[in-house]
Amino acid sequence: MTDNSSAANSSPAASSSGDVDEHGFPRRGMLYKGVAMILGAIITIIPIVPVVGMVLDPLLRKKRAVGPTGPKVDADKFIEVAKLAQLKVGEPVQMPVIADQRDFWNTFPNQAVGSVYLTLQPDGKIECFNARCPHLGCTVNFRSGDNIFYCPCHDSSFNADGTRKNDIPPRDLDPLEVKQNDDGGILVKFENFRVGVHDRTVV
Amino acid sequence: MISNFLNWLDHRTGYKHLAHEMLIERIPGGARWRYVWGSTLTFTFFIQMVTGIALAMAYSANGKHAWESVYYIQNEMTLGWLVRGIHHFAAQAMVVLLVFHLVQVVIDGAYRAPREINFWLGLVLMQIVLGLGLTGYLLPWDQKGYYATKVATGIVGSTPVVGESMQKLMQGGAEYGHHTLTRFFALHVTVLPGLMLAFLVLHIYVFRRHKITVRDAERAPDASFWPDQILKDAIACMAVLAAVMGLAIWKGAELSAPANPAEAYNAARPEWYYLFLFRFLKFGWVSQMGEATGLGEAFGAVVIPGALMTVLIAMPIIAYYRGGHRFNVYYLWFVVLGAIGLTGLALYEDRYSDRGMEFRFDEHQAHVDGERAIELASRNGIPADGALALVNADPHIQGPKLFRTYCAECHQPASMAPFFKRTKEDGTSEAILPKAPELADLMTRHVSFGSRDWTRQILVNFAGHLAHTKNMPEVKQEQVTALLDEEGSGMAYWSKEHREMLNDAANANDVTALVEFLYAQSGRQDALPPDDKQYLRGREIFEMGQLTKGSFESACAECHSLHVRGEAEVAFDGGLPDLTNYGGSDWNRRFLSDPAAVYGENNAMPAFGDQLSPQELDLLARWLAGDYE
Repeated sequence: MTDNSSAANSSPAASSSGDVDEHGFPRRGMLYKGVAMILGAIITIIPIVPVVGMVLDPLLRKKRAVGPTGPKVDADKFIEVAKLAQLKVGEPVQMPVIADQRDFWNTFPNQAVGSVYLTLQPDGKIECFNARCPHLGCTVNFRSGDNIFYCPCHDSSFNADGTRKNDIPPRDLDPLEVKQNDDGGILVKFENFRVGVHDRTVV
Repeated sequence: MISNFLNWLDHRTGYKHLAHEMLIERIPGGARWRYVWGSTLTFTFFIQMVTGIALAMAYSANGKHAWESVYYIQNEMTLGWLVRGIHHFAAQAMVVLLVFHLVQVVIDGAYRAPREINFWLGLVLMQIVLGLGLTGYLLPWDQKGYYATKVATGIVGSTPVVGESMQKLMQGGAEYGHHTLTRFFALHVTVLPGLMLAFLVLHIYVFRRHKITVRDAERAPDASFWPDQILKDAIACMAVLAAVMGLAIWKGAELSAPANPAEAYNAARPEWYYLFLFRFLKFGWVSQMGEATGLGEAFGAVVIPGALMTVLIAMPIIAYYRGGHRFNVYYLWFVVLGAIGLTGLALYEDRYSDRGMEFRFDEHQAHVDGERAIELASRNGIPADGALALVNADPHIQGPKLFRTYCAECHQPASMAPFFKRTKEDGTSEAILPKAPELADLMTRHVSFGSRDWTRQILVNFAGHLAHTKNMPEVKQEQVTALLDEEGSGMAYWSKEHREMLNDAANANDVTALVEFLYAQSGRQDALPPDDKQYLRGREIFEMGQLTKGSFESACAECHSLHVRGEAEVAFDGGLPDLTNYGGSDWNRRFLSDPAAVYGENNAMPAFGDQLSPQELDLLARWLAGDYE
């Protein structure tokens, strides 16, 4: 662009107008430039807005895209996971949670959507924990020899009553609500909770 | 403060020089509207990139998930319908703008020396845009895209020598499958956009090297790209954006029914900007030339367009010669107007001519099927074997198709009469006459068989209602004569004898009650419950034949068997036709598989128990009975 001034001088149209800018072109006011700039900004932003909306869909969506669904989930969101006869007094038993799995556009029937530990207490009550480790979401094992829950990922460990045994997990195992039906079925309100944080919040 | 920072930044990046290089570009004769096309194309490509990124985040390139994920984008995701709509229409806008750009470049002579290379770079960009359109059209994996693209890959396959291998490479195999989608998707979102960016940079770089082509530098004072031309470009881009967004909001991108390799899609057409080629291939002489040259389909679809393209490529060379530029301009107008003419012809034939009748019918059906498929998918989610499984098990979609194949020629829907013609030996055509009563309108999918009005007609106007049976072939005439004999002993006689009584105003409520009772036997959702007064009155008339004014010579129950719906015991055992569940899906199933078992000796309808699978019988029976959700 070094030859701009000389080119401008040789251009009769530009030099005859007199009112030229530092490059030798007709001078344009701030309004002219402002309009050009604003229009340029508008046409850039408008297509981006719906795109951002779509990309932020996971934050904006009201309905859950993934989770248990179908006839196995009752009105209060309880799912039958075991029969009373399958439980042991004082020893946790791991049970898969079987329900239809909603996965965005698909519904897959009878999928394991998670797993839980159930323990029959001597007083007849049933204790239930989500098997997902509250540390970073791996699945904990029960070691009957030591009577502890142990997570193979980062060595989190918990007593049989779900309380923390070391400082690796941020909180105790997540208890789940349990109810029984007339057929000896054990129903659990299956929920997953945010991992890695002290407070227990449903995801 | 800010100025200090900008100086610091400029010292390290040199952005001011770059901005100056980009923005301060001399335009002799001033900014003009005719220079905006290149900018609008670049802008549209920008739209495609941002919307494409969002779509790629939600799309699944898999034969069992492609339609399903697009359904999800379109119907469940925040603003997904708008993003997809913009992407869909901006793609088409790009083709239109491309033609404008090309025409402007040729008319202004901007392709002439020393700009030959840049013209060719532009033609490469054109091929990339067309390739993006082709690959993108398949991705939703719906009937429309699937069959349109099949034709395109078929054309590639018909190319001499390399065709077969090219087709296999494109499809990932000899037939369409998962890899067709993964390949098209990879081409559409990585290879082609990457090439597009690279060639776009080259194109703009070479353009800047040679500066803009100006025909009349004296028309106005010189101006700079910024802000003069940028303002015009921005306004033009805004108009393009408004058109694209308007179409996306007003019309939206359609998603037709999920791709079904087993089902013919009679309304298959390429995207509208390929219609000219589609129509060109339909000319008889094109096929004859293909036959004569031994090139087949490739003659019209590859050789001729290739030759036209070659002339386009040669334009800068042609312009070296005297009169070459003038030839180029005429040639371009010839091709563009020819393409517009053929596109118009194709659209006219499909939309308005008699030849397009079946296309319009099938297109409408495909549209209805698509909406229905979306409705089915949104109810309880899509099963693991995909949306096609939902579609294939749906009476509302499959019933009309089966009806058209097996039933419609005899039970002609009145609205489809022109469809039923046969060509005689002398070349003229004659109508195929209906041989049985109309049961349903296939255009609206409204079923009249088994309706309240149907039953009323059977009672009051039996012979008239079934009059089309007279067109039955010779061998059936004995049954037809007996069926329609108003002097005999059958239903035609009964109907004629009691017509006056049934039409008597005093008996109007009674006839309605009888119709309601019979209608309720079908078990349809809008039928009266069995404890309704009108229903009970109808039952009484069916059994006793006693009306307010007069009584039947013989009551319905004397001739017809009927196991009343919801009652444990068989109530009436009068004989055939058996009216148990008349017009309901059970009756329809029994009747379709063996009409003689239901109608007795006067039956003239062929049995379909052997022609249709049990599943097909079920779909047809349920559609005719409205027995589905």
